[in-house]
Amino acid sequence: MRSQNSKGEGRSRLVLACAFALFFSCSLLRASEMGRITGHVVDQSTGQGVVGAAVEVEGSDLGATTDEYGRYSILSVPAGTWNITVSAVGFAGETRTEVLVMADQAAAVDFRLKSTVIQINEAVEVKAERPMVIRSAVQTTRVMTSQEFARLPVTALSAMVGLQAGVQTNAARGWTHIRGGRYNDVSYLIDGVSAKDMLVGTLWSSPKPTTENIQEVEVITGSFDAEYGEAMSGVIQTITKEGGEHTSGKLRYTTDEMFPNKDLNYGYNFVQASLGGPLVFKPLRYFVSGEYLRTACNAQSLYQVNAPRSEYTLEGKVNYSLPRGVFVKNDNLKLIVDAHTSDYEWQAWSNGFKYHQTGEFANRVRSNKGNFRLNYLPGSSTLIELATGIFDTRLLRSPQDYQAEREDTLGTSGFLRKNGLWDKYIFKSEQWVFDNREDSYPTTAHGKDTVIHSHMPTDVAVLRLYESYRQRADGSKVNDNWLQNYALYANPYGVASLFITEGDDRIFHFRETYDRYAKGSVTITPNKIHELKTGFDLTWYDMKEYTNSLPWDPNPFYENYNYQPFTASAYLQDKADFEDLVIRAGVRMDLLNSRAKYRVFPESVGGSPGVRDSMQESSLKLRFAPRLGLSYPVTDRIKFRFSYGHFYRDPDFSDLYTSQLPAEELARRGNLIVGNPNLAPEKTIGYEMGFDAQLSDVFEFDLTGFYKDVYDLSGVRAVPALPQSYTLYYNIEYARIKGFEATMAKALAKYWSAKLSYTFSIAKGTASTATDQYMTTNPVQVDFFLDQDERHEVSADIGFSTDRSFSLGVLREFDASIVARYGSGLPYTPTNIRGERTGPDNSARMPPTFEMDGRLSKVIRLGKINLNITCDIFNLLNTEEVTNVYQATGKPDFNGTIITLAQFSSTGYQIGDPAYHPARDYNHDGFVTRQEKYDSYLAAYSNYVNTPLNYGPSRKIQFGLSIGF
Amino acid sequence: MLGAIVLAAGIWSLAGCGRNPPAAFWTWSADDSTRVHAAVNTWEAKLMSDFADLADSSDIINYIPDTTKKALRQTLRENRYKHRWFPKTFGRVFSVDSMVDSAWTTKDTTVEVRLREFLTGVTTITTDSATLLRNPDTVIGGMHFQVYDTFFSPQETTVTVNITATCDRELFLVPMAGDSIDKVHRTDWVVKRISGAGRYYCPDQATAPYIGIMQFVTSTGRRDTFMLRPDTIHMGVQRLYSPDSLLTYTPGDTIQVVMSPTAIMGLLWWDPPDIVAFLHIGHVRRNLTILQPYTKFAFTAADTGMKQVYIELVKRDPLTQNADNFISSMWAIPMKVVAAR
Repeated sequence: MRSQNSKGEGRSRLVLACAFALFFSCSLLRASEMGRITGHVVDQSTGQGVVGAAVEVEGSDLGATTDEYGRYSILSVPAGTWNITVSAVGFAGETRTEVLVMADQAAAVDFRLKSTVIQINEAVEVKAERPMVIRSAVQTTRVMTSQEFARLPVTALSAMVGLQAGVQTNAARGWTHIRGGRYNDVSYLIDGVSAKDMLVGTLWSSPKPTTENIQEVEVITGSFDAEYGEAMSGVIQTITKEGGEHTSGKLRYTTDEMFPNKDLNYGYNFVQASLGGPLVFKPLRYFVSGEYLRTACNAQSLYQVNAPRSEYTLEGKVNYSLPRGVFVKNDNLKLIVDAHTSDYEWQAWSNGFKYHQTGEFANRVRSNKGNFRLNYLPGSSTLIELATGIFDTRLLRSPQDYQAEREDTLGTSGFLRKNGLWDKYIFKSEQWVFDNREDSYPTTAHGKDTVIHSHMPTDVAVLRLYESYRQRADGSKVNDNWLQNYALYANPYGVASLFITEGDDRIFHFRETYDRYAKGSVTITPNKIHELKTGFDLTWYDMKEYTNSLPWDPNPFYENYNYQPFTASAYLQDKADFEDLVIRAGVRMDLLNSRAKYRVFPESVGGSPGVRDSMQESSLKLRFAPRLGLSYPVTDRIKFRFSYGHFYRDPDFSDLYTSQLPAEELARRGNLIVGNPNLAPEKTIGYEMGFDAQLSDVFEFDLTGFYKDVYDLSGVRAVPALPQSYTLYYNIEYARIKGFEATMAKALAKYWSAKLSYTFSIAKGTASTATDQYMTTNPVQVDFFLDQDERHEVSADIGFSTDRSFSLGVLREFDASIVARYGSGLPYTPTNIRGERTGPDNSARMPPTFEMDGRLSKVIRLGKINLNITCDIFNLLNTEEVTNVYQATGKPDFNGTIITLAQFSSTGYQIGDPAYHPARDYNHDGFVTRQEKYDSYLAAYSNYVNTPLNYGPSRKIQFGLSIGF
Repeated sequence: MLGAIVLAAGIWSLAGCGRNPPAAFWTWSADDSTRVHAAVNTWEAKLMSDFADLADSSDIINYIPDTTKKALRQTLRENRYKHRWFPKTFGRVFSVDSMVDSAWTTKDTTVEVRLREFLTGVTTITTDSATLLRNPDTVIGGMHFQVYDTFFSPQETTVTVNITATCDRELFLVPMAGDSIDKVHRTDWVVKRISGAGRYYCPDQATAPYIGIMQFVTSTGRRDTFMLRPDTIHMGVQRLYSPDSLLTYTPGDTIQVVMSPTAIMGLLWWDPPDIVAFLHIGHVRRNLTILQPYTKFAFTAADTGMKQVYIELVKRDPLTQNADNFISSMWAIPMKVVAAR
């Protein structure tokens, strides 16, 4: 059986083909996101600069020579950990190990060389101290390395990001908010390239890199340089690994299946593998990684529910450093090609469908990426970066076609399915929509009755879903259950009108974001003070959505569009380092061309006789965003900083394009939310002021205050059109966010490390999401606390870690760490049980949340083989974390409805009555009395209301074993 | 290695377990299905429809009360567009098939099963004469008959009418291990309760005559009332009863059947004028007068054990004029016949 979108499949193949063609045909090189290394080399005895000292980055072709003052600067150093070696005639050489280079930051590495008359061939090795205060950073930047990933009990990128001050993760929704902004205000970059599904702006449906592939994660929670766009509240940037000098690999398996019961056995199986090193010859390196996940419960719920999830991800990167002097003397050229493919499938779960789960919808996200990068250093002061690539992510949501899956026994998918390795989801009407061909369903002699339409285009087929379940001429049905759903009696309580017992979720939804981009930048360091950077970014999108939310209806509610917006940006910035003052200033230009028509006069929809529709091409949206940041290092361990900037983000493209119906169709439908292709980018003006202090060699403290005004947020308002009003997106909402965040950290020393982060914030505005004011008769005119407004957030981690020299053998190379999170509670709007508001918007608070996770890890060395055993415990204290409450009560398990005996008629139900069910007949005498009606309904209703999804997960324990070399 | 294991075990022991989901409600398994079917099968033979017409398909009867015969003849004469007759014999041949139509599992680990019988066959009616509706363009003796013309056939005529009926009974089962209920292992399922009557509808419930209430009045004056819908005093035939608690009668005791709601309840109720009634017991079909005087019957000494008494209401129309289907309702009432001590 073919799956999904054949065009999309074609694109996937194109992505992979391009990637692998480049893989095999190009000479390839290294790394993507770069930092730089600067410093002084001085004579230890005199303090004078050493002229002409050679500073080299081991394992690379990168290096520099010191100037007349002993200063040096090495550009284009891939983010990661490096060893830096310096050598000079008349001095003993020195190697500084484990120097951390962060993307877009300068790592300061100073050397004090000892003069000698004897040539010493072997350099002195000194382990670098990791700077806890980043001197050149003017904004709040949090960096997490792969070592922290390995040490802390986090398995997902979002969990790691959520530990940082200013970051809030909403477990119930899977959203990440930074400093009180909307979930879609965050830019999500992998190696500098956006990996966000721009149609809807969410991260949860965007592809994630494999954990093994993560070298470093940077979270910028405040103002950011001009080179970053499409973000208003923060940037999450992942830097991926590249192959090292020597071949290395790792295979890791994590599971909880050794536990006998469902309290701990979630059917969790997670396999990670990676391999990297030189390929054929030393400058050509590769790094490939893969992940495979299967779990029986993917939902964030109080206890295990039947919500399986499967994922696989494959990634590969090849980099090649050409020998120096390809074009000019001592130039340096690097080529990088990488590719990603992933497939996530998961079954949704809700309390209402739990007794008829086959009708609940499932999801599949397939993503493919391919990038080609070129980094060229024609000299020591110029860096040219060029990149191009494609990104494709597709989501399909619909109930599964279990019959088709049972019949899928052939081919690869059949083999994997039979062996329990991969249950390829087949969705109801998937084939109908995407592979609508005459041979898809065999026709019969009574061909006139068949529902098959030869070569029906996708956009037509999605509107005619109602035909896909009609009876075929031979009496069989294409989709027997593709019906609307009903809450009848087939549940353990025998009570109707609560739990869905028949039919399917009324949804067929497909969306695709496909883009091609080209970007480039030039970084010039004309002198030791300035670093100028200018660049551009062009992106051509292809956005599609096919949705039908009344699949059984010949006149359904639907989305059916395909638009090709275009965005462009350019920026110019300067990082000026005056030793005692660092200035980062820049300006950014963003352009949005939605390439669609909008209604100049929304009230004139043209559906009424004599009214002309006022469609007109939307205008180009051009915005300029100035950025300024100052860092004032008082000493090499204390600095003050300030930043200010204008930040723009294009609205989610679905806000532009949804329900662009012909006027006559718009006029006859009610309740529609209609996109507005003329929406302008949303705007934030942000200020922040901070203080960073390294209190000792191992203690660091920072404090940052921030303030943001957010304008032109996307929102909806009713349009009083005739004959039918509708709702339209406008740039109409506003938010104001202020607060401060503080972090106290202790670096790993004397076997322990710790970090404590605190964020205080107030986020107020007129709408938490774009559709907040939908169907609101009188839109809110005053600011209220936004959904993501959490007054106090605290996160902490503490770790105990030993190395190979630890005296007690059992605890040698042993790690134990605990992370804890506290949130003071998110707001909700109080109502009475009739749903009428009893207070202002979001004026009540949910209970605080607290969660603690732990990890134990032990390395065992067997020659060149490393074994690592881990034990992760999530929700260590097994706390009951409330993530959602009923508005009428503020409780997670009771919605305020009081049910009394008086509500039930005295007429009983007996066998033969439609309402009779043995489950209600408690004494099994064949008659449901009034009391039995009451008792059974009460039990069913309590169960219906008390959903485990209103809580965070209970304790989970997972064991892992990895083998590395 | 050992240290790591010890530490992990220590943490695990400190951490304890997670949170169990609520105990799952019992769900129907293939094994349960097999065992429940086995239990139902043992009762199926006792409960399946088994009444007189099976033995004699053309029993000559005089089933229509004298009081209605005159009116009936008048009706037939006035309706010249019907294929009609005045029957003198009446019998049925049919086959019975049964299946577990539905099974409702419940959260308390019990099962209620609907045993559904399917009856298909024909009713054979013989008449002394019949008025036949002729087909258009019929030529008899050189005469061309027009539409709606009829002709009278004075000789004995046999008419057949189809039977398509279903009969539902509910059985309540619990899992047993020996003499006690075992909801864990469920080694065997046992029928604990059965419906107060099997309800037979031909061709379907909406078309079949309505039986609302009747009484058995014993010679000792005991009145046992059977109702379709129960009220707070009386039990309904659709209710579930333990086989041990079935109504008990003694051989030789004369039982009078009262079918008139008015007579039973003292209420003004529907007395069906176009209905004839039968009582089937011990493979004997008896005419049953709905109105006074009531039909009486008695169990014989050979009837001891669990027996079913069938009370049947038959719509008169298919017996007297052309119809596709036999129309009737019947209650098959299980009861115990116990020899007097």
